[in-house]
Amino acid sequence: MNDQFESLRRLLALKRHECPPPGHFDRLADRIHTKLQAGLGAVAPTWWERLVAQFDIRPAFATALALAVGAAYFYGWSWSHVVEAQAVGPRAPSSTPWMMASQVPWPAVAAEHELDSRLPALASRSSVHPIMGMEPDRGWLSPVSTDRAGQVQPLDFRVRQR
Amino acid sequence: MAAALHPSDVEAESPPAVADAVLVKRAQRGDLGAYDELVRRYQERIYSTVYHMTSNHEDATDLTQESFIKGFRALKSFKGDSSFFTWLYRIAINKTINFLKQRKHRHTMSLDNLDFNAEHDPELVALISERTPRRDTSLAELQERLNEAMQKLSEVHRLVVTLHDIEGLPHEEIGRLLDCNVGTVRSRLFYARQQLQAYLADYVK
Repeated sequence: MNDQFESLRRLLALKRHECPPPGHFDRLADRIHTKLQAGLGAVAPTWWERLVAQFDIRPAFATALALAVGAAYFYGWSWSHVVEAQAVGPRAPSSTPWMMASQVPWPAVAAEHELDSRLPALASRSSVHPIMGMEPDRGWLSPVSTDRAGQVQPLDFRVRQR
Repeated sequence: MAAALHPSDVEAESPPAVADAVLVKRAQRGDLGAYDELVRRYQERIYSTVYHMTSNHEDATDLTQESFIKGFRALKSFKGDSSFFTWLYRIAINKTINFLKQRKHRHTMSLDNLDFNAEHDPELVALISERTPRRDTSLAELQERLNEAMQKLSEVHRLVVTLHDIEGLPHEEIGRLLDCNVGTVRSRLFYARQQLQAYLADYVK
């Protein structure tokens, strides 16, 4: 110790002379023994009690656990915002009454217009009105009626003129 | 008090009949008698450190008891990386620091009596006689002033003073206990001594 603290060292020596009353340690050991004996018959500590017990032994473990929980919470919070943002896509205005639900919503219409330009054969089908769109598709090979309307004619498969 | 001695010093002086490791193994299998032996072996040193940290006999007794009970419950997790005493000491120190943080503003001292040897300690006698001829009164007063000054230190600074200047542990051992390097221990000790010297200016030249 430095000389500058020599007097302090002599003063601190006084604390070594502070002693508990006689017999104190015998009583303390007995108390600990009694408590432990009572504890052995008790219910085993839960996983949570064992976890908290670790905190006193390893404060670093407590800090790491707190950081991990914080990080998981932050990740969950930020992820929920991403999902929320994806869910808020083009959709019908919320003011649309429920009776209007059978009508084609505007994004569907837009999608079908787009489809029209690309696939004319499929464009006549509505994804929203499946019954109305059930008329047979006119493909490249389709039955073609002759001029004799009203009469039953045999089917004639030829390449349709466009 | 035996607490002023280093654990390894004590073991070197009077080797225990049964090694700690053997008692720990038996206690881990639920042998309460083996753990009782460990309690009797180390309770004075644990109590001493906790007492010097709290300056309160009742708090120190409760914290010592709780530390040993917690030690027994956590004994399964003791892998023997350090000595049992070091492991238990850490439990007691962490428990004490947590307790001190909680009681921050409601502190009352409850000091242990000075033993008979205090009045005959040549260093103390010299120190007191320089100050006052009323030796008995001054020792009690000095004890109170000293504990008040200790309680003014932060927990970490009080801890290094307790472990080094009162308990007599070397810097390296304190570093291992507190999980910090020797430089940190030394700098904390220097700062703590400066603070104490200022608080006890009436008694320290």
